[in-house]
Amino acid sequence: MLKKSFYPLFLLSIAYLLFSSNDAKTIIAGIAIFLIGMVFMEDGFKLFSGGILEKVLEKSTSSVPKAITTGFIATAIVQSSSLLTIIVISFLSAELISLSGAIGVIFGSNIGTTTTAWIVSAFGVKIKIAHYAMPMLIFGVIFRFNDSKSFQGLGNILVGLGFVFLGIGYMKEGFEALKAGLDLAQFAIDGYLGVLVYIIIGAIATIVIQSSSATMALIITALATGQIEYVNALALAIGANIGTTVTAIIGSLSSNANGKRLAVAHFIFNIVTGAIAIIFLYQLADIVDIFSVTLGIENTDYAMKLALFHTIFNIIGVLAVSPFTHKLVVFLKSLFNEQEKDIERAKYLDEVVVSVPEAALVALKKEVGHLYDNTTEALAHALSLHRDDIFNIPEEKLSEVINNSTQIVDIDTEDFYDKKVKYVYSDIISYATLSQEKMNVEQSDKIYAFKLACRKVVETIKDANELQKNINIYLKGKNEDIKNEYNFLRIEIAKTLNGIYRLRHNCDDDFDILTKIKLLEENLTKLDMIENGKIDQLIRTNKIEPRMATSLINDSAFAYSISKKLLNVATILWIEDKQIQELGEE
Amino acid sequence: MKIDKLFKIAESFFNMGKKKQKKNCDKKQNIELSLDKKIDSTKQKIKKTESKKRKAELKENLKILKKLKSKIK
Repeated sequence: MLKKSFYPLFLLSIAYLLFSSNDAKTIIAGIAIFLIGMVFMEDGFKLFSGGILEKVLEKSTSSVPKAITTGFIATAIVQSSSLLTIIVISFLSAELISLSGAIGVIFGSNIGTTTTAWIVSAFGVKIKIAHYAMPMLIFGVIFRFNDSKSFQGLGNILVGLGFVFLGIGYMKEGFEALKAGLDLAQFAIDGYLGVLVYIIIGAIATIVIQSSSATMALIITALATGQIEYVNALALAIGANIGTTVTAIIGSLSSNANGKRLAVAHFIFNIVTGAIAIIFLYQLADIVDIFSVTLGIENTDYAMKLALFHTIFNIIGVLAVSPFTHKLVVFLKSLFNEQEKDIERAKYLDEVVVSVPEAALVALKKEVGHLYDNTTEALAHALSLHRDDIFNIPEEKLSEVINNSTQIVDIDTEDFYDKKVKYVYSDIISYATLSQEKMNVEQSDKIYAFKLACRKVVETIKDANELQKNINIYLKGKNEDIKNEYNFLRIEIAKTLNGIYRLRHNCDDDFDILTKIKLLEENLTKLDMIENGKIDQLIRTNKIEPRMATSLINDSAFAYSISKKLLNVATILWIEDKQIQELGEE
Repeated sequence: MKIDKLFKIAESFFNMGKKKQKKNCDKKQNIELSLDKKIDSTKQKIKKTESKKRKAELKENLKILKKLKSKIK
């Protein structure tokens, strides 16, 4: 809402600046070119690295110090902390790296991103950098036409660098021209009031530009041309660091729990670092002076000193926050719990017992039962029924109840599958695979049977999804004959579900269960509407149209498939003796 | 593949193949015996029960049990 109302205002302000001042136009164009350069560089590294970056990240984040170093080096090379953040979030979601490793990378990336300030202050403002931009752009475009992905990536990097240099050139030119007419330095504010004002300006500029690197380039070029005072530039740099977290937080709103955890970790880091930098600003400036002498930076080279300040305060931030990484992990995990989003996970799979085969088999059996129960809920709703309509009434009354229950149950089976089945299913498969490592042949066979049962359970939802479409159409329709036929399909599936529910809770031994399953299977022959001549009869007597007949043929096949699969699952899950199980197979 | 071959050699050497066959045969006999017991007990229940509905149910069960027995044979 805020963004919607802010956006036109932002565009109007930019338009006003472009038309009112030629110098402002040059500076803003410089920022735009710089930003497009960053996008090209990011794309280029994605193509050029060919997965190397991913491999390095995967292997070098086992401890927090390692992760910090990796984050620093990777960001210094690719010059994009946002690219690194995206990869880290995807790795975290795939569980290729731990949350503490990911946080370490983000901390390191904060130091790595300060190298942009070094590049801009060392080359950008000292030499006519825009001159180097042209050959880069030309060779970059040539490489982009190459068939090889690596060359295309290299081309994008060169084009990106070219634009970044060109952007810096324009910014510098704009500030130099601006200085001739208007000296921004006259607005410099002394003391802590000035610090606070410039921090806010730096943060807002970064939120608007959406890139702390671009803000830093802007600050350094403004500083190098004498448009702002050194102390105010330091405050702007702190503001840029704070502003970038707001951008990250906004970006993570639509992200998953991992994205949010990382964004909050980043936010906490930058707020703590910012607070330290604000409190000790003048002491830090003194430290910068001391290190400048050691590094041979001239006392009046404020651009380089700003880059040094940017690096030092981020290093201090890492030193201050990284010892609390594990506490941060616990806090972030409790803050964003994946299960809060209605997603159901396995209930009985305890990792402690995974190495004890018999205990793991018991847990798995219970969990497949849990998966079955969730699926029956989806099936009942897809048939526009409630579980009470199926399980809590005697079998002989099912027809009556279902014929009277014509209210459509509004359920999205695919959404239900995503929330209540998919993750339980994937948990079972992963647990089964892990537990299988220590099992003998007989136990492994059971695992295979459980996996098969899961697959069949899940397939019934897919079948029900198809069936549901026509049930919803014909139950509301005026043709009583087709409605009766669809009610018949609902009743037959409900009979299977009811029968399985009863055998599961009332049968004494395996033979009893098998007998009931076989009886239910025999009942399924009624669903073969082609063989029993039902369809022919309905068409011949003009009770249904041929279009309805084809739907009914397909849907009766779905109903058969659902019931058959449920009975297969019941055989696997609730008949203990393997020989008796095999006796039930066809 | 090599392990499979080794197992086969070991099986033939120690007569394990025959032992396995015997074990399977025993299992089959056990199942047949328990099925017979189940059939007998169902027959008894049919005789004892007075409810017609229950009787019909048990008869259906008996039919299935007999089919299963013929399947074993």
